[in-house]
Amino acid sequence: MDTHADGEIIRRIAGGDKAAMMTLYQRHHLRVFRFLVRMVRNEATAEELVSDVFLDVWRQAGTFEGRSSATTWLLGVARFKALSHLRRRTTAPLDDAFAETLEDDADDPEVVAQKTDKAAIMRACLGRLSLEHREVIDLVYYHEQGVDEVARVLGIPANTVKTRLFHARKRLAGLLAEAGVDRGWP
Amino acid sequence: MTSASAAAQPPDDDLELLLPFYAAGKLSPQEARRIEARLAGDAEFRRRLDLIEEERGQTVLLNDSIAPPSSATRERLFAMIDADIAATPAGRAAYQGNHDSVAAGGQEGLRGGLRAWLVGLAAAITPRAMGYAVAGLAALAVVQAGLLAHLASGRNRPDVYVTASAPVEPGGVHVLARFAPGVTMTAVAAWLRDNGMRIVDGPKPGDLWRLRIAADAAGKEAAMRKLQASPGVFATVLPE
Repeated sequence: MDTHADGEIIRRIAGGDKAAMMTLYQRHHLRVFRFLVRMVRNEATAEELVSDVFLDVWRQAGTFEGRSSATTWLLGVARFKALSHLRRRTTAPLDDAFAETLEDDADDPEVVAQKTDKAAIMRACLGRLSLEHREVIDLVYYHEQGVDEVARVLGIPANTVKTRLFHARKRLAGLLAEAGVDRGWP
Repeated sequence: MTSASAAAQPPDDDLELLLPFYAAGKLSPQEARRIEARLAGDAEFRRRLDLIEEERGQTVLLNDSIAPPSSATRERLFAMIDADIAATPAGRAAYQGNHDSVAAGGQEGLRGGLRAWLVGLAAAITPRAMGYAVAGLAALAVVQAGLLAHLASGRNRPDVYVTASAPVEPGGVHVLARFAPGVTMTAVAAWLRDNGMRIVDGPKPGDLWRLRIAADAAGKEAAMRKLQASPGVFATVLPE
């Protein structure tokens, strides 16, 4: 992704250029949508949140200082929107730490293991990670964000990014082991 | 560092923690050199990199399986933006100014719009896709045969090639593969042709390419053996 081009596009958006907004949307909406789907686990909700993310970009483009890439900035806005939605969705106040450790048990890898192969089992386990773990996995493996970029998106120190990813991978290995896939690590 | 000592807590060794970022190509040259020095003399470290590549490949597949949002999403967004413009005098003035400049630009404006649309569409496909798509389109224009695009950007990337116009085929057995460093266009094309395989998609994050290796499950094992027996062509092969 050409970060210089993104910076110029955002500068034009800050000046009220709607065509530039369309360009930025075309360049980044799929990435942002997929990040949101993985966070909120609902495509309809993610579609609404995508609109909200880019509306924020339209309104706040002038605040973009270029200290991070547009991708990092957008993923950070998307994460904020997703967390806000997840907090609103609960009937009772949801503690951040608790919310971010919740795991999904909808796609039980043991069930998957009975009828498919190792690759499918791993994807099922990736889908079952907690929000905290799957977002760091996605940011590094799929969105190709570096240590400092992930730190910006998540709002945590760089060293915490590294240890969080380690724990996410360790949890993934644990889920794989429960599904009968022993990779000899950790 | 032994594998057992890494079990409970994050290792003190920073290289272990940086290994996923190395796989993603997100380390500084200095950090990458430290990792590579360790990889050269530590078989267990190399095995852990393989595990990370496996995780990475499946993460890419999982994310790529999420279909794009509906066009209604974009329509909703721009309806909100139009409402925003209408409600804000400054916004209205700014938009009018840009609208006028685009109109005055005539054909140049249209060309710019088309260019922006193409660039945007390519970038929306997958991360890093814009760079690859631009390279692919350039190769398509130059090579009428239109099947191979030479891509040479990125850390430690081998010279890899793709069938730029390969159709997506229904059915068949597919894998994700990364080509070996230094492999040539001739070698890749010849190997795939000789073994009845083809590239159907890519590159995906991690320089992975989707290959159709067999028509059905019966041919999968033999095809996988061929791939794994050719380390000079394929650095990594991940089942899908």
